[in-house]
Amino acid sequence: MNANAERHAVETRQLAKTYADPGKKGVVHALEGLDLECRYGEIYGLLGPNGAGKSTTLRILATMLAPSAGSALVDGVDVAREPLEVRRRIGFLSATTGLYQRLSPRETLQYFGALHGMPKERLEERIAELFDAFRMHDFADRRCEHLSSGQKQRTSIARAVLHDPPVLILDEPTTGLDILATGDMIEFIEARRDSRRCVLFSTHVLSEAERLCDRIGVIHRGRLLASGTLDELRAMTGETWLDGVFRALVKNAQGRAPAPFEEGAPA
Amino acid sequence: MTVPGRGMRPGSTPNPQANLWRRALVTVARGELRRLLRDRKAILLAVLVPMLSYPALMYGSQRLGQISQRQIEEREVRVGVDLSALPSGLLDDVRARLAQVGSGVRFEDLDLADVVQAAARGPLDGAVRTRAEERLKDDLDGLLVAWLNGAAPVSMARDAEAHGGAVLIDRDRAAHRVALVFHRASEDGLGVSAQVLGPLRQLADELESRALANGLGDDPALAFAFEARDVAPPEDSKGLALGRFLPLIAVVVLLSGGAFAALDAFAGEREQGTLETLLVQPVPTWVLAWGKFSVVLATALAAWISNVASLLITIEVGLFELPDGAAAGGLDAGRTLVAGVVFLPTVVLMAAALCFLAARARTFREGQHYLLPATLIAVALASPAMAADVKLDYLLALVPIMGPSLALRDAFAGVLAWPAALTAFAASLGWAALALSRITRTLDAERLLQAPAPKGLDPAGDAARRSLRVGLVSVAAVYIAGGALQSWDLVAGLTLTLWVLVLGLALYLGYANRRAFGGSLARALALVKSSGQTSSALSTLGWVSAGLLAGPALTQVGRFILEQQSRFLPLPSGGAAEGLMGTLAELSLPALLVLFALSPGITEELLFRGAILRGLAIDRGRVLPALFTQAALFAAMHASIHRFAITFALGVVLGALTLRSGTVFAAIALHTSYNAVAVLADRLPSVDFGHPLWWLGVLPLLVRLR
Repeated sequence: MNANAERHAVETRQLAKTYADPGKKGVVHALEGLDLECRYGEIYGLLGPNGAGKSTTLRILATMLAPSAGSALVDGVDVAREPLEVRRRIGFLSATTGLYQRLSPRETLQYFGALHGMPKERLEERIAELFDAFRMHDFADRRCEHLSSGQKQRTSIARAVLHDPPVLILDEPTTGLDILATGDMIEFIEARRDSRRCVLFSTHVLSEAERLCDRIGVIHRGRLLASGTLDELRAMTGETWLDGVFRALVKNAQGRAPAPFEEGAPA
Repeated sequence: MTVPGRGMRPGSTPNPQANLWRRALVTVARGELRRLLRDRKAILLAVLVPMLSYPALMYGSQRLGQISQRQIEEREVRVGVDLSALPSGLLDDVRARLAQVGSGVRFEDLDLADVVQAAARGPLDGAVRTRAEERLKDDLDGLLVAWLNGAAPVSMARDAEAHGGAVLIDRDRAAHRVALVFHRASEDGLGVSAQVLGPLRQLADELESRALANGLGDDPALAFAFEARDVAPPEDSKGLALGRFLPLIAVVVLLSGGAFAALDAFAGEREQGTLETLLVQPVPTWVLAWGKFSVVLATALAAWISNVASLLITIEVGLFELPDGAAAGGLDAGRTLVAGVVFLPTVVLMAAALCFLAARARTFREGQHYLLPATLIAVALASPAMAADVKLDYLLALVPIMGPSLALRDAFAGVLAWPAALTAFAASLGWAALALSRITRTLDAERLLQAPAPKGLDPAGDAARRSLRVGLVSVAAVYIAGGALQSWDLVAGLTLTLWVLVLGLALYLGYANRRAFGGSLARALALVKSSGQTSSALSTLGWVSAGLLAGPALTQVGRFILEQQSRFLPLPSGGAAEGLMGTLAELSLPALLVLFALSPGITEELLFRGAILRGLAIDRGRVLPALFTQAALFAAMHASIHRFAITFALGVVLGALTLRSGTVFAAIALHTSYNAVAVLADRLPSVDFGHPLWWLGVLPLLVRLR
């Protein structure tokens, strides 16, 4: 991986997204000028309550939604200009990601590998590697509808990194998973960092962010309030725990304290 | 844990691209197909069961038909006979014929003077019915009565035949009428008619020609011989019989066969949560959409071909005889080919329509709800082919599904009018191309990924849903309560319906929706523009005058729609409106105009174009569906299948006018004017509202709409 210092793995400039909603004020501002920078070999956590704009940001980076204004680069490629090129460089996984019930993990990987245009031999080789890495051989040919949630999760992860993307985007990846599966997930995320990939993930679970992230961006009402390592954020706000950091930042931004941040629930 | 990847370096743009997309498309299609084929239960239900049900169904229904026919013929029936009015010569003739009737019918001489008198007084189906029904309630299954009808024109024989009787003309050219009275609803009655009518009609025909011969002094058969001879070769009769119901089977089979694939490929993908994943693959959306569409098309075609094959085999093997006495025999391969080609774009169109439908649904189940209305529409469009007298012309050729259905029928019958058929083919190609050009939109991520806002937090969505609910309630309320009120007293009932029920519903809906319109009732009723701006009095006046002037032209459009529609859906004789005007003859013209033009103009517009359309169209992305939904509700409220198309079209025009002008006033004016023309046309016959010059009245409207 050519991780030169100037190019960021993910970079957004004044990113904005508005949805038409004439029922209210005419439009909803999901994002209002978001500046984000994530580096290679880094786990970056996007932290914020539900509705803060996390999913919108990640979906724009994954080229599913088009930005209304501003720009976003993934691995140096503009999402609006070359969405297909961006898609070759990302793996995407969200909490709502499902699997084709009537395909086996092997067939699932074959299907998406073919969509990536991977040559057949190379694809089979890669699938074998992933089956080893994720201990998937036992259930490789069982239909996904019969898999346990942990097995499904491993299949989904294998699918997301099938083409070994330099940037992995995870939208609330641990929501609704049992602890074992989450442990797998955390292990996997750390392994990506070690191989100099960028992992960008969103969460509203503070402990998860504290444990995993090299750097954290706090997002609220479509804006990035602060970004840095946990220590930098502590220094910035004078708070010790991420909960306090977050509340101080939001208070700073709007001049009053938000509701207490609840673990695992919308704030 | 992770393995360093060696293949697929980012930035290695594959070349040539088109080849890559083609391979991706095949991948998508194969993936869809593989998943589809693994759902055995669905395949069984979608393809195999209907395929096998044809032979079973047809054979069964045919056997049942034969059995019941035989039972009717073998039934023992009693017929009361009173032929005392007939002169002796004629009586002998009739008796001779009755003797030929099968032994299952017993004739008994009775005194039926009351029935005879009743029959002689009025039309056969009038007073005689009550008298006769009393006698038939006893253990008689039929009555044969005769009376003298005075001198008769020869044509009366035909006249009487329509009523289940015969005119017998004796040598003195006095017409005696003989009527067979029976009850069609009872099987015994049917048995009587099946066995007795034939011989009597034959006698009537013979007597008629005898009378003619007497009158002309010669045997007319020598001067003019008439004979009907069907020169249609078997393949024509068979083709027509088959072609008449094939379009109907086609649309049903195509929709049901393709539905499963479409729902699985679009709604199912959303429900399973795989859509997001699919949309981040390095493949353009159109490739995904086309891959999915091709599988839907293939499944629909497979269902269609297997069904038709099953149907044709059922017929060829002789398990089923076609109606119209079409003989079994080889089906013309050339015709089948032409029919298939003519219908092919329609298959494509319907597969595309299924994709659009399925893509709208969030879940498999929701998609299934959309299927029934879609099937009804498709069946309605295909059904004119059932009527042999609906001709394929250039206008019908343009209508999707309908044109190709008619062409398919004619192709099988061997009477295909090539220019019209080519028009139908070209038009359906156009429709299919239009649908295909939009197929990529089925996977529009911006639309698909927008989550619906929770209830209560989304006044716009609430208003839209409430508008639909109140719209449906309005239809039912006006139909039931309004109908009851108007049958009690037309004038008072109509006034109450419009000014209390309809206006009340409009005000209620506007009031309930006001939160979505910044608390303004006037905005919710489209009395002011949705932006909240009040339009100037002058501008409103302009719209109102433009609307008033356009009424006569719109009436002409309505008349045209009715004319076109009457070709396959004839209007019942004695138009409802004419009858209405007759009963209201005592009302003055201004009163009529207020009651039938101004009142519905104001109240119905406030409800449908004001409250309902505003509420439905609040979500800007759904303006067109809103326009058509409110028009459908408006048409349904009029509760007449014959007036549905015309009221629907009117609803669309009035709705578009409201959307375009920003307020409801133009629609009120146009609706009032349109209704007023109907009133005035009745009261002032000297004014020609059909004159082409009335079209000039549309100009102000066009200028304003520009």
